[in-house]
Amino acid sequence: MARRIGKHWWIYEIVQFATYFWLPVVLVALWWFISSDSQSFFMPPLSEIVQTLLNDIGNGELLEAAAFSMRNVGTGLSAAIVLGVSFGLLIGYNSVLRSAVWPLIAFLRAIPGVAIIPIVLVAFGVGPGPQIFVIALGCVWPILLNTIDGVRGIQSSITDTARAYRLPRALFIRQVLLPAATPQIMAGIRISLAVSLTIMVVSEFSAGNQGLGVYISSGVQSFAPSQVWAGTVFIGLIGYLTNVAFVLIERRILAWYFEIPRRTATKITSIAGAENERA
Amino acid sequence: MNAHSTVNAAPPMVVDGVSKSYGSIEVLRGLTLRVDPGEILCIVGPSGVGKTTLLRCLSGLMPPTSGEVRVADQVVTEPLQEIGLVFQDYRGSLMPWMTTLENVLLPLRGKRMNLSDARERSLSCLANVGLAGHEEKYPWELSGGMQQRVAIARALAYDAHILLMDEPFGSLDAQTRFDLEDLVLDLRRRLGISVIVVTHDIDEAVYLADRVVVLSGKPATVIDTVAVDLGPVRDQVASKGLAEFSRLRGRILNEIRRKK
Amino acid sequence: MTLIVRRLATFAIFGLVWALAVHFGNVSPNILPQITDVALATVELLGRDTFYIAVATTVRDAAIGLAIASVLGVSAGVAIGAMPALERSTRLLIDFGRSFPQIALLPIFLLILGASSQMKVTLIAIGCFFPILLQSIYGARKMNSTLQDTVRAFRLPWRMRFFRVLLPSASPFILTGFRIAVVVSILVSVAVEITSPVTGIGRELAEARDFYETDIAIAYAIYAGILGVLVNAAVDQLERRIVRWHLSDKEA
Ligand SMILES: Nc1ncnc2c1ncn2[C@@H]1O[C@H](COP(=O)(O)OP(=O)(O)OP(=O)(O)O)[C@@H](O)[C@H]1O
Ligand SMILES: [Mg+2]
Repeated sequence: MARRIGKHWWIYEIVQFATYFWLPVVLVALWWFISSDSQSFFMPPLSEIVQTLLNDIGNGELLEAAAFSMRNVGTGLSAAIVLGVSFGLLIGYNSVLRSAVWPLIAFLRAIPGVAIIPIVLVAFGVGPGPQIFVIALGCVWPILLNTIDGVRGIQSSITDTARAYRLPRALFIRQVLLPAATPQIMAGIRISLAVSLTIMVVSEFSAGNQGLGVYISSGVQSFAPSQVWAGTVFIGLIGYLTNVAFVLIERRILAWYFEIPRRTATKITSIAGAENERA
Repeated sequence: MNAHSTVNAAPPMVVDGVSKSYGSIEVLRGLTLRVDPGEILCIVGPSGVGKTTLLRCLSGLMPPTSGEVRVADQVVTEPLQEIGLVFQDYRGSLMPWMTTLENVLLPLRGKRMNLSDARERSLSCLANVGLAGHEEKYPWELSGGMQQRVAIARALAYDAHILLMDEPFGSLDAQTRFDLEDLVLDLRRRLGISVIVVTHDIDEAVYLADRVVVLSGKPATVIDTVAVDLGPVRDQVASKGLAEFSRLRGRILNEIRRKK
Repeated sequence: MTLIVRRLATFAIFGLVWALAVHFGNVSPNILPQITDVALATVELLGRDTFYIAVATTVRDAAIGLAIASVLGVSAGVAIGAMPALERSTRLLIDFGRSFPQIALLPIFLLILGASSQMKVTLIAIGCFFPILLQSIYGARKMNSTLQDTVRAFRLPWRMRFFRVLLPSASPFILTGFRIAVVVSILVSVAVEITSPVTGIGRELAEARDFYETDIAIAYAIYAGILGVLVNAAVDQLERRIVRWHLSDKEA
């Protein structure tokens, strides 16, 4: 295609680029113009929202809130990864243990993470500790279940090879079991990433005195709708960027799985992926 | 430099009255075989007769129901240091997350070998199978034949003196298969290893083997052992054109057909 | 037999650890009530009218939201999946929407719609929309090319193409999306009820918690889990039936 266009290939590139961006640009522009003389108290003009957003980013209020929230998310998710992957390897590998604990796991993971939030927050009060705890608790299940699935899905030719070459157990777990399960583990982490953001927001809505959720809900209490909108837009941006970062990391860790040649610039055109994993 | 300079280092392998049942279904009955040091033994038989089952018993991955397998008077109850395995499915036995070199290194790390020695040894074994320069590639960057070479190099680096191969070249194209057959003959000649090859392909069996064991029946028994006197050096065109070659080939084919 | 023993033993150990920890750790019932109290609370709830009203409200709102999301998600998804140009144009929006923690929209809808079940249903629909949309897109995109060629060759009108070809061939994917969305619907429902004054399981839970009836609150959380399991089992049944219908369709 590009060749046929010859020396005007850049026009082709711009058109390509435009096919991805025109619709979001048009929608934002529409929002801007339609809301520009909005009289509704709850739907301030987009210009006003952007004003608030830039203002609160500039004075550090939003960034501080985001830092607090994302630190909790990062810590809780990390704890969930460590716990979920270690227990997942253990349970996935040991069939006796797995058959014994399976119903208990099925029972515990069915309890929605958001339902635990008020119970934990009233018991332990507000602050980073309890919030990290509920995030970790909600995030551990998808990672645990996906790790177990990943270990169980390991090909028998791989385990036979490991046995035939008498790999010691520690080496086997580190070099064979863990990498073999990594694609599935990453799928679990991706689900948990979404769970962690949701729990963070809900827990900050229901209690707390710091963070993005608090920034938004204080906008509701002080009847400052543009603050509510600005905070929501900001959370959206954070969610999007976190997902993009995740995809980049995943493609790096799983280069062998996606068969990505090394030293090749890889363009990601979408962060979407089929969700056939255990949610 | 070469890790396998000692010729005829392979210990003899003895299969003594091995039977194997899966539940109540008997697959192998009373198999008795002997593999001499430096010998290439091919096992042929119809599909589903129990060739893979036999190889898994020989390798120690699976215990026989009765009888025993001995390597240098040691009874095989679990995978031994002396035995290297090459599987039929080359896609499944290399770790896809490891480079060629890492794949060959892995068993040596399990043996707690000094890392620089292990590297040197792995590199020399990769060179031995004609893969010098491909050390940093991942399995998906290699052709099927190259992947099977990596599996062979891994067995050699592990210092296996007996190579067990389950239909190792079954899913490769004809030219690649010929190259790898010659590689096996060459390695045996240079390193003195013993090789047991399970195969469907009777031409391949006669071309490679010093002796061909024919399995047939349900449960499977050894119905014939054919000595192949074509000498240690063979040629894909010349050897296969010999009258002796087609005589042996015809004999084995008839035996398998008659049993059906 | 030994399997059942092993499984019961796991539950027994879990319960025992809980009981002993509370008993010997002198844990205040505000933080973690004794397991027997929680068990009693789950039974007690079955005798309360408010419990049934709460469950019914949550299920009803989740179902309405799910239904709206299914109609919108499937039609938009199949259309987007079938038209590559549309897919490119909407990709950024969809990527943005799916990585958005949708529950964060709660305050905005609280402002616009007030604390009503309308607001709850809207948020449930938004939450359920994306999994269904994404799976429908995959389903429509994965439609095998021979089928596509056949459709072109016969110049089927678009309505027939949509209902007779695209929809059935995408249905396994759509079902996967639906299965995810079902769980999401209960989740969003409970989350909204916990954080805003609208009725449902989550509200009862939060109120029990505010009155320091921790055992009742935990009992509600358990019922929320059981609800999720039941709803999942129902979808399983549905899926089995649809798959069977699919198979018999092919054999015929
Ligand atoms: N794990 C098992 N459990 C029960 N039966 C098995 C098992 N593995 C193999 N069998 C049965 O044992 C018989 C021999 O199988 P085996 O795989 O050893 O045959 P094979 O000669 O290697 O066949 P092929 O040439 O197709 O590879 C077959 O009938 C097979 O169905
Ligand atoms: Mg076989």
